[in-house]
Amino acid sequence: MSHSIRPDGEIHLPTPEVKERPSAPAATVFMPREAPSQNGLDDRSAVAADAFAASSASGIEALLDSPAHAMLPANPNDALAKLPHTPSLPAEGAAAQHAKAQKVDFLSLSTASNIDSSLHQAFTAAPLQKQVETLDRLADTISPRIGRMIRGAFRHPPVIVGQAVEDYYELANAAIDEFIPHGLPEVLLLKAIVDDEWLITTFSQVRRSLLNAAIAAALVDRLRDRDGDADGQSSEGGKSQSQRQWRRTVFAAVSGDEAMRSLVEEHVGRIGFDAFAAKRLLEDIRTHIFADNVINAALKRRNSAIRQLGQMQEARYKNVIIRAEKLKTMASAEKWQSHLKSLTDLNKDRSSTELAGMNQSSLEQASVGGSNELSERQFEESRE
Amino acid sequence: MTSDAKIRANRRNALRSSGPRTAEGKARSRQNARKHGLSVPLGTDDPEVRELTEVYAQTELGGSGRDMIRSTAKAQCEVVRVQQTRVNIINRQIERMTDDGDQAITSGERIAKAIVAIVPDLEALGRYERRAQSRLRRKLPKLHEE
Repeated sequence: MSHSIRPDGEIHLPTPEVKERPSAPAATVFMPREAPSQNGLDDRSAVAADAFAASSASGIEALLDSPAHAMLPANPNDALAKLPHTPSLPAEGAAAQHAKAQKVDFLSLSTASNIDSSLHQAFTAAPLQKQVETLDRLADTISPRIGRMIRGAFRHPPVIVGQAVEDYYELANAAIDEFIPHGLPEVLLLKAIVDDEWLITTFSQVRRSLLNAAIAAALVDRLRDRDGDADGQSSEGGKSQSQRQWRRTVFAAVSGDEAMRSLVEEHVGRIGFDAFAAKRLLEDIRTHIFADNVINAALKRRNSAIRQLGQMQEARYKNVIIRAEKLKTMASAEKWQSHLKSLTDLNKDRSSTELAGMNQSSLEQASVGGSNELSERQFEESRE
Repeated sequence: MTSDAKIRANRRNALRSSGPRTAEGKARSRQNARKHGLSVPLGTDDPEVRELTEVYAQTELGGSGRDMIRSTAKAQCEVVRVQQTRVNIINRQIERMTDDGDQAITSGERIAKAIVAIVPDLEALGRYERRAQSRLRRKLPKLHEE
């Protein structure tokens, strides 16, 4: 990627080579300024909840019998899905918006490396509807019952303006795929894991952005001072224009654009976290500490939730084994019983024949005995 | 130091204005001290709680009692409420910055700048979040045992 500096001093950034597409759901989902709803949930959530309420009017019997694709409209996020994609503007307006988006991309985004997450998402990721369908498919793969439970738990995604809802649902899908929850406690733990992971991602990005901003601000200061000294610019307008141009270049460089990086390094030496950046960072040190605390707390919660979920699943598995063993025992007991029964029947037959045999022999014996007794009696009579 | 005349004038004026009189004004002034409403626990008759209870009660096949499911749904709604309050605060700040002609280049930078401006508000939410999370966590083993 090449760049050039025009004679008037303006830095010309080349056109990005990535596939362009009007994006940034951020622009379409701004929150209104009115006070929050009574329970503190935002309007997007309210829209989602409305859609969900409409969908949950149907009975559970129908839901349990319905296939996965039939349950798609029941998803509250369908309402969310429509937000970024609904063409609320006329054709000219949409075209103008597209052109504006391209212009912004041209000015501020020289490569894919410095494209922020939402734009990157818009360039690369699948549409939201697809993600939601995947969530439904995955959830319903487990069972329609669990699917409904998952949709109930995940209906208010904690997504900030500028972040992509698709990312959140992608994360949720990955977690569902990984843990495969069964039952309400496991679904709620899964939701906690996903939310904490999302929070960690968000605040890690914030921390990185702050660090980059501090480095960039320090560089811009140095470059502006250097330009000011070299050109002898005194007008405020000239200075601010120069600052804007350097700012774009420096942010691209700090975000990883190699061309911009080499350009900046030509002027100020090696880019990195130096004393100037540290000085700028001190201005936002409270935010850094806050972000660190949030990340640490979320990490602890997430790990604890994963542990707890593992224990629950293990207990469930053990229960299944115990139940299987019981069944096996019962089955074998039944077999044994039938065996015993058959044995008893056999014994009964045998005992009857044996008894019969035994009676005969005893009769014979008795007769023999009788004869003996008779002979003894005859012997005694003869003696008398 | 306020002069005696000024104090007397203030008291006279205060007598003339004794606060809102209409129902609408009273309803509005009732919310003057409200910041985010998170210190007030959600009631079981809250629509969100009721709805979620219905969903969970219909889908939970274990022997969990209705009360247990309701209290779990309530605990989860409280967690969601704190999350959404945080999101709302950040979103409103981003909107304010955009209106003020903010020149942030990326959305990540914009979010970071918004958070820098509202760190005290976000820190204040931490207490409510911890409380809501621990309430929910306490419910889960019981629910699992049932």
